[in-house]
Amino acid sequence: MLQRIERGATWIGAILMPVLAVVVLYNVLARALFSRAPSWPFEVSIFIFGILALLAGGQVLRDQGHVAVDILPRRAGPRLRWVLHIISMVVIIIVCVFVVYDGSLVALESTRVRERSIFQTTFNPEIWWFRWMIPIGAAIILLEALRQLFAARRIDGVPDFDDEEIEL
Amino acid sequence: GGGVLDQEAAEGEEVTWRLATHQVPGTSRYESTLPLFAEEVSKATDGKFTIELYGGGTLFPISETYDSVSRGTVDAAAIFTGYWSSKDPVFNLVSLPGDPLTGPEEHFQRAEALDPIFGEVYAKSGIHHLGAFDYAPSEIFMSNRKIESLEDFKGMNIRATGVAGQFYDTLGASSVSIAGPELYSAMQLGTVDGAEFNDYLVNAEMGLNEVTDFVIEPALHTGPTSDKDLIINQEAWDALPESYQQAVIDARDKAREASSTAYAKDNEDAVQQWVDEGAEIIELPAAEVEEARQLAYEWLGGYADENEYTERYVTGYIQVLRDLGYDAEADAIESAKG
Amino acid sequence: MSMAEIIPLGMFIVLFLLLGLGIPVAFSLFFVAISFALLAWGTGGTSIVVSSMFGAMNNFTLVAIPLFILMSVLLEKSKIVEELFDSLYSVSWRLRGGLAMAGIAVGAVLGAISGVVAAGVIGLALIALPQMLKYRYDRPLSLGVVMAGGTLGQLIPPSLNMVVYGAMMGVSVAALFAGGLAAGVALALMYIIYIVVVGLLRPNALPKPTGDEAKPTVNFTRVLRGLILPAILIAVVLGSILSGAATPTEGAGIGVVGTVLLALVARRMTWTVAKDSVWSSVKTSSMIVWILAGAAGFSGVFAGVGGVTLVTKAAEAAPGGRWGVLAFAIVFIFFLGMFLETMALIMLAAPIVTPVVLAQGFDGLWWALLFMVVLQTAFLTPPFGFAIFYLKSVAPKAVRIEHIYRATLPFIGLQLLFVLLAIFFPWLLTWLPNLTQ
Ligand code: NA
Ligand code: NA
Repeated sequence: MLQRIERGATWIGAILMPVLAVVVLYNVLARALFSRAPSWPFEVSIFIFGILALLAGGQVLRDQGHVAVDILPRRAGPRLRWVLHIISMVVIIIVCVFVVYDGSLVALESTRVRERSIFQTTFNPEIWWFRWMIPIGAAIILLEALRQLFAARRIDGVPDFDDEEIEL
Repeated sequence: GGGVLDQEAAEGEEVTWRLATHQVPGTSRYESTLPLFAEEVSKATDGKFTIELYGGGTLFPISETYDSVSRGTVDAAAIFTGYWSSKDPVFNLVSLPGDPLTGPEEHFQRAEALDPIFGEVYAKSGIHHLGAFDYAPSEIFMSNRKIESLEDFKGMNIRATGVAGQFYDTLGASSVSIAGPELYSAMQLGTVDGAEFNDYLVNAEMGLNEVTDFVIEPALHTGPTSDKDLIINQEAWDALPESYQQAVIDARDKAREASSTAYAKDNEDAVQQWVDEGAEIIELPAAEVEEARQLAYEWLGGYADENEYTERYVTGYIQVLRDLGYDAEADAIESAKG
Repeated sequence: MSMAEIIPLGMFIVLFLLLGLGIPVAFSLFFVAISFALLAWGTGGTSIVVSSMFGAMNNFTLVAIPLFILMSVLLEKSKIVEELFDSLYSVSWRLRGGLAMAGIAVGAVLGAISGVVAAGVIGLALIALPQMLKYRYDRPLSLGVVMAGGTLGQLIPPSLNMVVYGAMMGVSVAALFAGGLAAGVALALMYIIYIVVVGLLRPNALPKPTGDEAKPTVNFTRVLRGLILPAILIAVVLGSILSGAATPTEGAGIGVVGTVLLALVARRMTWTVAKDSVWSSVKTSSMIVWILAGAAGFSGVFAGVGGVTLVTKAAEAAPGGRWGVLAFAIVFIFFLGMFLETMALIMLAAPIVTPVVLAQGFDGLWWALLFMVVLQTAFLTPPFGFAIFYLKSVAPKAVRIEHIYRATLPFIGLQLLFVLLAIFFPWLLTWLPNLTQ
């Protein structure tokens, strides 16, 4: 179930990627060739960027894609590595709890006033829904971290570093 | 609450405020007023009341300033009110299309009359509004195409935001959104043909005089405005002893004065920097300016319908125009309002 | 020391501790930001972190990052790059280290397209690194080439950091751009000279083809195709920017569409390539934005809990004498550049440090350019360097962070050498601006 949510959220961004490129290209052509710049691409590009960046965070955590200075965990024995993994997950959980909580408050207030874009474009879209991407993205990471913490109740639940052999 | 840097003060006790601004240290619009403001507050309270200044983006992104004051992350901010059209359409009217006002006196007279309307909206978010913090001369229109009539705006790509964007669209131009830091390259390379942006002084600091061929006078869409309004977290304000509150108000007045004397003069002197870089300053014929203003008043009359506050603001503005003797302009907006 | 002075220092200490435990960079930054906001401001302060996140996702110039990543991934997965480097290798096999030199050149070109450092490093890592490793180039050298070449975009115009610095400190942007170009090209030449020297001293680090591969037959049609398609792409993207049709941010979007068209022409575009490309690009972009948001939150809290006071006090404590002040200022920026988000660093440190340096009679433009070179160096200094993390995020799994740390060392040495040269021969930075003014 969680895996589906993570994959689904990431795919939303993946599908939006080429859309972003086309939006940008369309804007350039309309402005440079016809001097008829549409007013919406500026904010639409920002929306796509924000959505894809925030929603994929959970999948990245599952795939161990968040960059870490992992010198110590790699050299550690299984026991220490287990401890370090648990510390990691707890830190991530604490961070995400705050981000989900504060992010929801901000998004709620934004929704109340039906906040619009700060960029003062003629498009001037409502952006309150965009504010919700923060708590949603953090919530997905939170769930993934909880899952990994739960899996690590046994010491062999700690994910391995699945590398190719290292040649120096 | 509950942090080690949190504090409340009684008369004669020490207190420190965090004040955020959108302006950046080192630029005239920062240096001309903010350090002075902090200094005056400190002086008036025997050094007991310290204002810490945070330049644009150092604490949080500029766009988050309103919420941060509302929540008390900072105690106060001196910031452009036009940004908060994201919160309520009335804030768009901090700069008024077709505005005939000139100079600081007229500007502050209008601010005193109309700021209470902004104040009501701010109050809904727990923000105390102390009105205009300073005076900003008219924005300038930079162009890389020669413009001698309204007709010449047709087909131009113009970097403009908010009301200005809609205004230039009605002139047959195409308003373009370009991120601030990209404006220099955009003017240099011709991505845009023109831009309505800050005054002579600020734009020269950003190097825009290096990439501009013409400056079109007068600014068609807007007159003088406030670069910053002073907004304060209501709880922080209420927690201040009365003499400290008075110190803030007096220091604000000093900032207003400095911006309308020294800064305004520096801005006039900065015109030479543009001429030196080879920019030609074009004075538009009066008839063209008149026509542009009529278009602006029609827009303004329509915008009054946005909500209760915009209606009151435009009505109040018409009264200010009459008080200052701009009867023809007042009539035009009145009739556009219908 | 008062409480307010200890707090910002404490932030660095806790950050390094968490990083050392192997906690992901993004969440280490967030955790320190949240806990210190909580300590200093109470429960009302933590929302500053959410504010920073919104700032990171609500920023048009950062839109270039996913576009650049997608373009680079497409170039790699469609094998257009591989063909380019194969062609280069077959025509330049006599030149030892030719691919590494090409890597530096590609980095400079990417720098001319982009004003955002993340885009340059990741782009070069995806494009050039697999090729250098495939031809068994020395790994530290290959990694170093990617980081040094990829950060050239900080100096080579357009550079957003220079625009911001120029407005703050009243330096002509045109002069900064000209000086940045001169500095960027000079550094690129230094890297290339270094590659030549490595080739002479340690030939095995930059192997030439052996046995059957030696003297490969040059297939001119293949070479033409391998070189011409990418050349067209570069010409179109760079042309769209220099002609003013597109902003640098938009140029990356044109690059994506151009790459797809190229891949279609070369019959390399398959469903799998498309699917894999967008999937991995989204994940990399996400990782980068979480780091940038964390760094912005960290920088904001750092400023808020007394970082400004700390920086001011430190600047006042600068030793006496012209050279003492200069050395101090350089070390200072270098140090702050180790953990602060770049834009935040410029906003925080430039107004404090620059007047101190200029009071000693140094030239404002020269110092501005030196400032930018030092910043570029800070991107690649361990343990906390953005270029290091960007590279790690897309490098093959066998490349560990300690390999990257080690790889930075000679290039940091080169950078410092350049800083020294620029101090003794100031014209190295200012000759081009002086010529164009
Ligand atoms: Na660049
Ligand atoms: Na560093």
